[in-house]
Amino acid sequence: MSSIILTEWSISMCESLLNWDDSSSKQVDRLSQLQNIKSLQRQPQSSIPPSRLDLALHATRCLAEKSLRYPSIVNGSLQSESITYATFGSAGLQNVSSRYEDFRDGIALATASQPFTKASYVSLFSSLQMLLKTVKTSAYVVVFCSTTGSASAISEFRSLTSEQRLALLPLPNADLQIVPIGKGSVEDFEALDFFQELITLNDGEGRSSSKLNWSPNFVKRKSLQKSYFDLINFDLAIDAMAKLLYRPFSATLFLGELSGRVQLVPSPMSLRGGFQSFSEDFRILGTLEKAVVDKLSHPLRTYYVLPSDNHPNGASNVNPAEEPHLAPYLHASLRVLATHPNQPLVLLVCIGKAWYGYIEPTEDLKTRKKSGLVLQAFPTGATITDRPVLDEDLDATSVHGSDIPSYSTGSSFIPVYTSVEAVTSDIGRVSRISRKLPERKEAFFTELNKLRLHAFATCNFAFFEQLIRALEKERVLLKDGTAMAEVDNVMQQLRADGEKLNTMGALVSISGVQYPIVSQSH
Amino acid sequence: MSTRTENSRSEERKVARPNAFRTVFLLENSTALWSSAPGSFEPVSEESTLSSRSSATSFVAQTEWTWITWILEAVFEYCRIAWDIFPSYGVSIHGSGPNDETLKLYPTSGQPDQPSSSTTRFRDLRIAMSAVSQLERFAKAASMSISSAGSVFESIRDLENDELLSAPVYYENIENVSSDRPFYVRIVIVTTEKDELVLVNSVRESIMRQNIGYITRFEIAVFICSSPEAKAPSYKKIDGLNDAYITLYYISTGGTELLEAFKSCLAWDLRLSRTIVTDIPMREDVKTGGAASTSYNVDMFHPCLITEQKTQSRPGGTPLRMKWLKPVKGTTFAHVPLDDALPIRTTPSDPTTRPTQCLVGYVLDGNAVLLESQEVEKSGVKICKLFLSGGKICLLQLKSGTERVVDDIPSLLEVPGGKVTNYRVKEMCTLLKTIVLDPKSQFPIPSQALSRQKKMTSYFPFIYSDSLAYLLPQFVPLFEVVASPEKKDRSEWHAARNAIEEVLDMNAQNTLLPGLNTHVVLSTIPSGTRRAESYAVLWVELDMILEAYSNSSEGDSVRSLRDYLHARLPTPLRSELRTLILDRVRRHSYPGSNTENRVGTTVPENTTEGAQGLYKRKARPEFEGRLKFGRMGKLYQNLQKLEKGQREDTTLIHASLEL
Repeated sequence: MSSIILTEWSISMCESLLNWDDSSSKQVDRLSQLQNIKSLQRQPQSSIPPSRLDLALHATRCLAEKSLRYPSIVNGSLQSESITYATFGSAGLQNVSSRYEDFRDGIALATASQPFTKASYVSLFSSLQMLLKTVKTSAYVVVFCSTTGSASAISEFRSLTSEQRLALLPLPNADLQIVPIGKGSVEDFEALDFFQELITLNDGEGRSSSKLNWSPNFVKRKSLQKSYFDLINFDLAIDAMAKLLYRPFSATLFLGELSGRVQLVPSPMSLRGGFQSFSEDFRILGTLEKAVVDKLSHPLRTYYVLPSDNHPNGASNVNPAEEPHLAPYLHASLRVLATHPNQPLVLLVCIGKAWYGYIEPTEDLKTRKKSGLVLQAFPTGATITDRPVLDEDLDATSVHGSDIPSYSTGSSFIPVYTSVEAVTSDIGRVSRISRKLPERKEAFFTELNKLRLHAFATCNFAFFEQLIRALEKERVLLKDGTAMAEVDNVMQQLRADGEKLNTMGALVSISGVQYPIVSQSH
Repeated sequence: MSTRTENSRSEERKVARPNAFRTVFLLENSTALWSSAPGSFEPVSEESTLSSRSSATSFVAQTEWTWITWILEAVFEYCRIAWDIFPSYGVSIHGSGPNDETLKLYPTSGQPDQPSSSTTRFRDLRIAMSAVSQLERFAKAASMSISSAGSVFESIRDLENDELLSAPVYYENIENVSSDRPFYVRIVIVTTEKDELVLVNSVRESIMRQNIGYITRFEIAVFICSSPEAKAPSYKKIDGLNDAYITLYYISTGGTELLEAFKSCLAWDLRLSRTIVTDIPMREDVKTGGAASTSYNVDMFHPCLITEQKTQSRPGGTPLRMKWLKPVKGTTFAHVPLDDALPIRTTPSDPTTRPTQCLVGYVLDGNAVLLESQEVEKSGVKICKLFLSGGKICLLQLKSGTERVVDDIPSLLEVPGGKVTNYRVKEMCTLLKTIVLDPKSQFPIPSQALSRQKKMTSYFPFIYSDSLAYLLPQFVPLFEVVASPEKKDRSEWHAARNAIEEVLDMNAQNTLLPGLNTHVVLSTIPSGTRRAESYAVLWVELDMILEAYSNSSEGDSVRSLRDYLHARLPTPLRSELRTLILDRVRRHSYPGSNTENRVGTTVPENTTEGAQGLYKRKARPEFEGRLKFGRMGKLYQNLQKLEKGQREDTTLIHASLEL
């Protein structure tokens, strides 16, 4: 997973949104309440308030710091998420850098030497399309932009044909987060509508992984005309976005009384992780043979299981690598079992309410020398076979507890007669069973009743004639007297059915045993 | 920002939903429908059919089925496909009684409006529909009347409190209506009335009379049987009504055309599209000898696919052709699902053909196959996987290319627990083998099984230094008897008791036990009292282990062994030690290998610094030496290697086999 954080490079971004009074104690207090953009220092001269660009840069720094805690596996080691920083103007992306410090320094130089232009979203998305082709993983694209001064950029984008727009959006395998910076006054509305359009174009109908990070609480409003930018709310909004983008996921893995903390990579809360809301307690329910698992529901997502410090607050003064941990312990055991033929086992895990997965050992695909554990998550649902996994899930599945599809071999569904094959197949089956009379008498009457029920249900009385003709042919080939008598008896009853004299009545064998039409579960 | 939570946002966006809340069928009861319909089956010869090997095929002569039979078959087919993909989709069927009153045929009173279980719902449907034959005597020469249609809409009004029809949310917030949610009720009317104006007026007046136009949007599909001319379906809004639309299907050629029209209507109602799986290799037995391979196609219904451009494909329409690419076994990390794609259920369009049965049987056996689209640019779909999921055949769209989620693994020496070299791997393997599940016989897992797991792990050491009992070779016969699931004979249980006696003798002689300095509890006790406490800890450990295994298959014998232990102990077991051991094991607070910094918890406060130094001793290696023969290696390497001479040394096997 990687991130691309872009800042608009335009004249409107140089505008200030705050009234800056260095001597104001209220302002000082306000600065001290900031959690994340503390680096927004007071300007040396109180007459120069921070501009939108300053706010964007400091928010970028906040995101950069948060991303340091988000693990990513690169070249065999754990690293933080890779981020690309850049500005965008009329000429596409500029000041591209992979380190925040270099980006910040580049901006400082550019402020002096590079003229501010107007934003152009057409060139922005063109450049992004090219950049994302080089990024091989899913990406977050965060765009800090101004809510004013973008009329020309908006009209430029809207003047494109639909094919031209399709070439720009949606971005391939990327989640778009737009952060407009403005006061929320009437003049901002057009820009906000446009940004929402971009979000919709990126995500498609009905999807909402991308987001317009604009909240009514972003600004405080006394009236539509009078609104002012609130720094604390901006700070909170950036904090929320950072948590969304860079929230590592940890859970406690339980095997009975044994437990150990683990982290999943990629985080299930992220785009690449599929925005899954797992429980924070994973319970191992037991083990399954690998051969059995391969025939269960197909797992949907794969996560690497990384042992995590059992004492995240530093309660222990021991090197965590030297402290026994359940995850490597299980890993070693599963690896030993994997070396035995017919014994590779996986751990069946409950990862949420009525939600399951399994943990198995794996090797790295490059060298095949390193080994680890992966979690394969099944789709949500209490069943991974045709029955629920835990007895506490029975309520959730009781309505469709035996939800067997029509084509399943366990189903007693009779095909509807929409083709000649359906008719001949069923009649052929009854004919074949009749050859084995009197041994297969039960099966013979069961099959006959299934077909009778369908014929009555479709008012298809002509079907009985076809059935009688088929049985007549078989009767000629029978050698057993009892079988012949049974077939004769049945044909007589089928004639009555065809003449609508015995609708839904039971079939009676020559020995007097009744076979009701509705006793079976068809 | 959206006020919806992330969880609901991700769930809502992924679930495939039909367009319709439910479908209501109204079947006209006119004499015309009880007459023969054209388009019946042609006679087939034995050679031309693939399905049957019996001689029964040759008798399937020209059959003439009535319109009503075709209609009912089409209704059953609609329900079959709907319930295979959306098991809880609601369907109700109405007919006309002798006085044009509407008779509710399905579900009947006492049956829920939604199917309860697939094993009975088709049976219930058939039983209910068998009542249709009784209506023939009430068949009228005239076609559908306004009053019979009106009665159907009246019954819809009765459903107003049904949560499915609580679509006032549709009207309260029109913005919430989107293609992601069901947004109409489907009414299907089968009639012989040919006058379009009469049909439209009948529907309009019925809706207005019942005053139900505000409830939801109505999509009325009228199938005009025995239409004199072939015409394409027409779709229009009903004038004078807010949100009601009518589609007229003209059925002129007979039953098969009616069936296809029903399927076309179904595709819109459930937002389905079709995929033809092509080039399925099937080996045909050739009578002359040898085997020939021929390719077949199978037509499947499924919810619309999501294209790689993140748009959903159009319901109905031209089927997508996907070629059989290759079978796949198990999980492959290269198969990454498309973003927002979930497995979607499929059902064959015609389940009775042999190619369909072969494909379905292949997948139901647990096999999976990759399919490759032959119209990538047009459909936006590239690769799909057909496989079994939860007992149903599903289709999952995969990302093109091979983005692997797990391609690179970090070195385990950096992660917590990665540098520990004395894990009790053998014991854990044994434990894992005792909790193997069989989905066929053991699902759903009862809660007692999980409490047994808790018991078995209530005392389960991670590493050798977590336990004294496991370090004693004298106890090997006891653990083999207790932990092994096979039934043991009397001599083996006797050996277990002898093991206890042997260690009791050691206790009496105060023999030094191994591993005291690294033990999870004893290492925190000053070394002067450590030896004295060691046997007390040992017996508590043994008692806890026996308690954990007392619910095994040999539970009676284990409990008997435990009782024997209690009877033979020189002093009673101390409960505070039990609590301490459990607490330490649960918290996994292993003091670490650096013993110099470990100070006993019972060191008096006023002890001088010099005296304190007495408590800081280095580890005594007399037993740990057993683990340091140079075969320890790293945790994940050389797991099976032992020097030749040591394989016969049973005292070493127990401790060092996994190293």
